Amino acid sequence: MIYLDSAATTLQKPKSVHLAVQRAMQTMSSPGRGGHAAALRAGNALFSCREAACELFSVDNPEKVIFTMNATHGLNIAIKSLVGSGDKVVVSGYEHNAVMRPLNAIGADIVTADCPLFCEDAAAAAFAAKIDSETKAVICTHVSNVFGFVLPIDRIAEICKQNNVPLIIDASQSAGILPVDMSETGAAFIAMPGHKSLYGPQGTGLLLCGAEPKTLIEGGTGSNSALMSMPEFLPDRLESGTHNMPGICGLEAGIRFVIKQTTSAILRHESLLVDYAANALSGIKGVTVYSDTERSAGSSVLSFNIQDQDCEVLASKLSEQGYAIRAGLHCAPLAHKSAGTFQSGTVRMSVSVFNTRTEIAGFVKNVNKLSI
Amino acid sequence: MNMYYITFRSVTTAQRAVRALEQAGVTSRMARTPNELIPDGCGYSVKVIESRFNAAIIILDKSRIQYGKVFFVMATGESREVFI
Repeated sequence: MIYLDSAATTLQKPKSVHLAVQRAMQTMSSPGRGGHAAALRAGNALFSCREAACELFSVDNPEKVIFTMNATHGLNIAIKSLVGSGDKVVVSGYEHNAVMRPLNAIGADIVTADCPLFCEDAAAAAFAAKIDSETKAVICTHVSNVFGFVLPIDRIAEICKQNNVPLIIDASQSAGILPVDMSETGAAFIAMPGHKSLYGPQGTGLLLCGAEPKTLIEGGTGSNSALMSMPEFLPDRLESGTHNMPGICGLEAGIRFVIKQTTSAILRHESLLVDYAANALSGIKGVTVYSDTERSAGSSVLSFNIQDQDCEVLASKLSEQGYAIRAGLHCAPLAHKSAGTFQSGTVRMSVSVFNTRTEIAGFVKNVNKLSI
Repeated sequence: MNMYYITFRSVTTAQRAVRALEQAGVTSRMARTPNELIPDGCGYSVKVIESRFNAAIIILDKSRIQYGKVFFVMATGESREVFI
């Protein structure tokens, strides 16, 4: 199988991740609970992972690095910390349901900063136009999980700072590939999965906290146990219950892999593959590629369609040929509405650091056969 | 051996303290805080030997790592709170 669904989750992980998971299962008990060696070992492993995240994401204090189950979990904490019923929030036109569904559930007044695909200037201008003194929060995806559109997050962060509006960044498709900088952006929260481009196991995620969060769940923390309320301080406030130690140990190994490879090298590798695919697919009759024709993708995600072919059927045929890809709405109907693909959906290929040009060439060849 | 127990609100803050002390050349060990020493139940301390205590406090203050109560625990098991 040629795996091209890394935007969903990376399947191929560095060997160090496998070893870290195994080691955790064999040697670590519950952190922050006991004083015995296995508990302290687990506690040290947690701290080490927080430190790795601080290094990669420029966080000034490991206490601000929160372990979550995934990016959706982190986004729910962030959104529900800042937004209440009727509050005005400004979002991009490319948000995932992990942002839209919580906002809908809360009953927020959602204002979309609409812009065409791949137009960074238009995106920044749209945010500037929609943000005002009534805005309770801005939520923006760094990279569209459908189209790979990289939003100008630094410019949007600056607009938020100027207007004193907290910013929540969904770094699901950028963490581990593009610079995600807590101190530069001054974001209130940055949420990300551990299991995509950080190469950690599924069931892991990180929430970087720049603002005061509210609890989503309450329970035991191994601290202030005599009190009936959750601790006020981080990370305990947001981390009740037993940690996913195998997952977090694997996540640390993944983060350190990314740090060693460097995000610039990873981005270069992945965007070259996507550019190659975009150019090659564009040359096939009947294929519509959703990409910026003027310059490099700058991300690891690409969507396309073949005329008169259902995207799910096409994905199924490609799967039979050995290509793991995803089709449909990708849990991001808003993105499809913004791009005009809501009715059709798209076929999405997304690469990791482990994909090769040969694999992409083979993929393009098979798409070509199916287009006839 | 007489030890100082520097208590912390969370295990993560205690870990930051151990890291800061280690980097400054002060040996310390993390341990569960004896139950009798903390009213709110469940916590971690960083243990430092008597001769390195002053240096440890200076380092923690410089690093802006917030600590809780400090206790001097004698080898006999007797303890008393220390006010900095």
